[in-house]
Amino acid sequence: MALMAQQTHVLEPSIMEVAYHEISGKYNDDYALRVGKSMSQYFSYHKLRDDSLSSNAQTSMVILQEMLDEANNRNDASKQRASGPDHGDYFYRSQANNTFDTYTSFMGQGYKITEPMPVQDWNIVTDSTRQILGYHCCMATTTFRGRQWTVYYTEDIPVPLGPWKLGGLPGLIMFAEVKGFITIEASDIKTKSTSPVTFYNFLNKKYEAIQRDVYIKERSNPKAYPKNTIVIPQMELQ
Amino acid sequence: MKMLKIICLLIFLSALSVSAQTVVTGKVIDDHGESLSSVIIKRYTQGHKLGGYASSASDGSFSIKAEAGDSLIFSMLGFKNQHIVVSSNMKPLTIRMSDGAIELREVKVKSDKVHEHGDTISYIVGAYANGNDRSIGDVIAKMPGFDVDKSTGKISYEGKPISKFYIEGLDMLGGKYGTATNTLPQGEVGSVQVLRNHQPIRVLEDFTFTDDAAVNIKMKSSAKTHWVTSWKAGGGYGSAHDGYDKGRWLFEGFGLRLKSDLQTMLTYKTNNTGTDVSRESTNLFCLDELMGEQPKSFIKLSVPTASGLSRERSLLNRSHTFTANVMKRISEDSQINFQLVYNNERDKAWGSQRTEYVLMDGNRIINNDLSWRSNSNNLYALLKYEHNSAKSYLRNSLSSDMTWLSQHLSETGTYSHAQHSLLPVFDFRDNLYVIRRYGNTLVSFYSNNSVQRRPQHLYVDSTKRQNLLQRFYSTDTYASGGWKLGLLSLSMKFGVKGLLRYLTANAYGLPDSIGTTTGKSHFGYAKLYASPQLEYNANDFKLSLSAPVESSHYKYSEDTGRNRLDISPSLHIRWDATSRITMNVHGSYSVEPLDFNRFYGSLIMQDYLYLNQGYAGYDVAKSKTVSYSLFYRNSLKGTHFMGRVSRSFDTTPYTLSREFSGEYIIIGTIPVKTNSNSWNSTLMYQQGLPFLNGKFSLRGLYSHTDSKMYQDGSVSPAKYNALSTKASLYLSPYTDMSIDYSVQYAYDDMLPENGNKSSFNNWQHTAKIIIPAGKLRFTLKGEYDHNQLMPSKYKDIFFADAIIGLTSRHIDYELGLSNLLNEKSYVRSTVANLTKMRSETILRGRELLLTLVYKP
Repeated sequence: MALMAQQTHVLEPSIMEVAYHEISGKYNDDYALRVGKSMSQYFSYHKLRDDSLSSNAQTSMVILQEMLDEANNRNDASKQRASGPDHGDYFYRSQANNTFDTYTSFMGQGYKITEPMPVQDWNIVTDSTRQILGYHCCMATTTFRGRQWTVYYTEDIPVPLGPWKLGGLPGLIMFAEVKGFITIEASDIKTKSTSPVTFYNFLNKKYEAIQRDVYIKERSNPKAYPKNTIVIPQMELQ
Repeated sequence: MKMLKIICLLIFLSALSVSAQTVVTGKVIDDHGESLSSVIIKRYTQGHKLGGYASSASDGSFSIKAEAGDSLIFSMLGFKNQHIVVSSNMKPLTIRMSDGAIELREVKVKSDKVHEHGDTISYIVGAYANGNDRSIGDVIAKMPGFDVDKSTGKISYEGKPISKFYIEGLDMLGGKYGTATNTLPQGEVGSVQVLRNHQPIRVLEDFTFTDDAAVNIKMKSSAKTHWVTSWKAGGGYGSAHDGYDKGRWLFEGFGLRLKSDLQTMLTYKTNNTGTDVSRESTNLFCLDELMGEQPKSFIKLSVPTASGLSRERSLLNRSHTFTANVMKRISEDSQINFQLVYNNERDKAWGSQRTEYVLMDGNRIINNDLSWRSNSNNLYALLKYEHNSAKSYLRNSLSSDMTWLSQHLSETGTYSHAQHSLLPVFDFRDNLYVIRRYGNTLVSFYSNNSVQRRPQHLYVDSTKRQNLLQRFYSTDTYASGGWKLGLLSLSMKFGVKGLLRYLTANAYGLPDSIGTTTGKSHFGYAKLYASPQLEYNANDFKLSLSAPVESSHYKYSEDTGRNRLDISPSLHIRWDATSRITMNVHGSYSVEPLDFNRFYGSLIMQDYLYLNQGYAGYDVAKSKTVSYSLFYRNSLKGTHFMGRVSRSFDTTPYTLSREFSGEYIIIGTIPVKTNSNSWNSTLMYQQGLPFLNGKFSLRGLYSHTDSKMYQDGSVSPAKYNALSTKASLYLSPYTDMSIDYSVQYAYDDMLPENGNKSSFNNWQHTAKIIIPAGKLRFTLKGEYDHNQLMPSKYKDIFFADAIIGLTSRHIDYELGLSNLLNEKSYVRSTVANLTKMRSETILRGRELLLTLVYKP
């Protein structure tokens, strides 16, 4: 069992941070795409806050209280914490090594999946456009790991990146959607005084290396979940 | 292989021949000659259409198909774009990109839900609200970063409770803002502003960076011209014990008036449906202020209650709460605030108690029926002055909290007595916080002082009487700070504490032989304390060490007093062994605070039966605890396990004594050292099941305690065991429909050294089914309790509830039917302190309630 336990450390300065709002069914979440020169990262702001607060005995009570409130009030939408298909994951994309690392966590246990940079075969539909955050965006579509994605990207922001594992277009992906499953839309872009691209491990968690296919297979098995777990469909089906 | 090359060449040549395509290759570098990856290369055709794109590899190399005459644009964030016109037969290119400012157009958010300006974020209420939302709290709960606790109205932003709640920039409500969260109609609010890094004290602005957030409610301008109101009402009918209302009602009204320099808010809530409305007007800030040492309530009648039962099933109330808040701005820098809260609560309860005292020479049994009623009036008033300028800050709040509690308890049976207690508590406190700035130096002073007066009386059968007057003064003043050095962090708190208590007790009607029944004494202490804490955070290990030190001088009026120096160190280590296993070890040595409530000279009646006897001893209890816990999980297999074992060794310089003197029981303290050791263990196990999305979980809690008690002058050791387990099964046949079942088992026993073991078994089964159907939602609940009352006798109780909810545009309806089988009472037996006790409580009967919430 290969174990990785690295502490939180800065990887490189970032030049831009894009915030995305994600809606999947009844779940809401907010994500950051933090872009550096040779690497980028993608994670949930709420997950980061949870981990950061949980790393300290006093502040962890806040999280505990929120979780209890959530569990005790499943029917009260206001008590539901941010969640979604990729909520618990920290993604790191390294252009230099052409690799994509996913630090995920399943029922509190850490797993690390390393894969070659995912590549989507895009079909650009230049005559279908939208304005997002004031940027002119073009549509592109692809089928990636079992889901039909429709995205809008802008050539005005020349980075071949996007939310989650999506990217490789001639501009930033501002909007991504799988009909009936998920909608991800950019809500803010910052280029001034951005936080550096950082490897986060507030809880000093150890990550067990696992193959992507093995992980997906085990995780889609319902008996792996404890009682009352609300199972959220996964981003990747294959 | 050779064949393949030829084919490739042919294809390549044919492509060339058809469209004169060429492949442009090369490398992208920056000003310093370093290769650049992820540079986007776009190819535009002569018709200015995007013809293709590529991006540079990690070594900066690229290749893109193009036609002669096309233009290639190289772009990358933070660099200036480069244009190249493609000609036929281009050699490999070297593209040099020069740095450029990252110029993204200034973005105006179109959705207009959120505006950000510096550290202030504004959320437009209309963008988050929908037809289901009534109060501003409902809407705030949906705004990103916010959480609202619906029962108390407490708001948190990014996980931290907010530090201030302003309405139109004025801090009218202070900590008691819960009522506004839960009742202020959202339709009248324009926006909610979050003031991040909010330093409510302006003099500190340059000195400290806070990550506290404050909330400012901006009303719609239309709301400033009239009273803003909201309403909720409900009615129903239920069966009840004689003496309690059969008709059920609830009503809530709210009004708010806002002017530029004056704000007023009024609320009124009433119900007899088992809801405790006084909770909303409790102070939501500074809970630790309330948790300081308090004088003991010596006079205490035994209210009929049963453990293991939820409060709303047995609360027979009639409650009224009225609140008024007025806020006036005096000048630019100062404001004055007046707050008034009045609660009236009349509760009733009926039940019976069977108490069996385990004695050497045969047990003593008291079997009584209880009829209890109480009337409580509480008036809270606060006057606060705040001066907040850049040079100095002064806040003084003066508050009074007055409670008049009158209780009547009539007991019939073994001993029949009519008891009446008057238990007023008058509490006045002043909280002063001053900060002054002298150049770059800050001088700050925090002081919390309180005075309490408890002139209390107990009347038993108009023949016996206890008068008890306690006066209590306390003060606490402190400062704290922290430093961080790499992996180490150190924090420190310094303070001074003082306390003074006067007690005058007079009991009338007790036999002279029993002991002193009148007395007058006082007790006080002064303490100097420092509490350092050191933390070390490494990869797999986390270690924290704390050692609070306290130097105290205690003085009781009847002796010379004593000085003490105490230290209570504790150590905690956590080790993440693998991704599946985590272990914790905790060790502590603690010195319990000296119990000042023990220092008095005479007997004080608690009720008709118990008499309290004081003891002037300055020794303190010490406790050594070691605990170990282990977590194991294999998440992908659905297995989770947690086990914890702790062992504690407690040494008390005194032993609890119980002396049977005629018809009285004297509870006191004897200066004999007691060692009481205990084992505690906890276990939790969860496993996923491979059918119907099923899950199974098991929890267990076990404790074993050895302890001693003095009864009638001789020592009576006893052993206690307590076990509590719960197993649950969850199935979800369809989405949103769920079936929950759990069974709980509790076992308690008590084994006196020279006596028989007594033990009780209790079972509780609960089931809940939720069926959603469009705008309707059905919830069915059942509970079955099987409680052991005697070795061979069990009592069965069955609860059933049904709720139907319907949501519409202006009105929400909820029809609830509770306690369908009209169970009358709940009984449970317990053991503790060489006593077996069985208590029975009358329940709220079958009840039908229709509630309407009007959303204007």
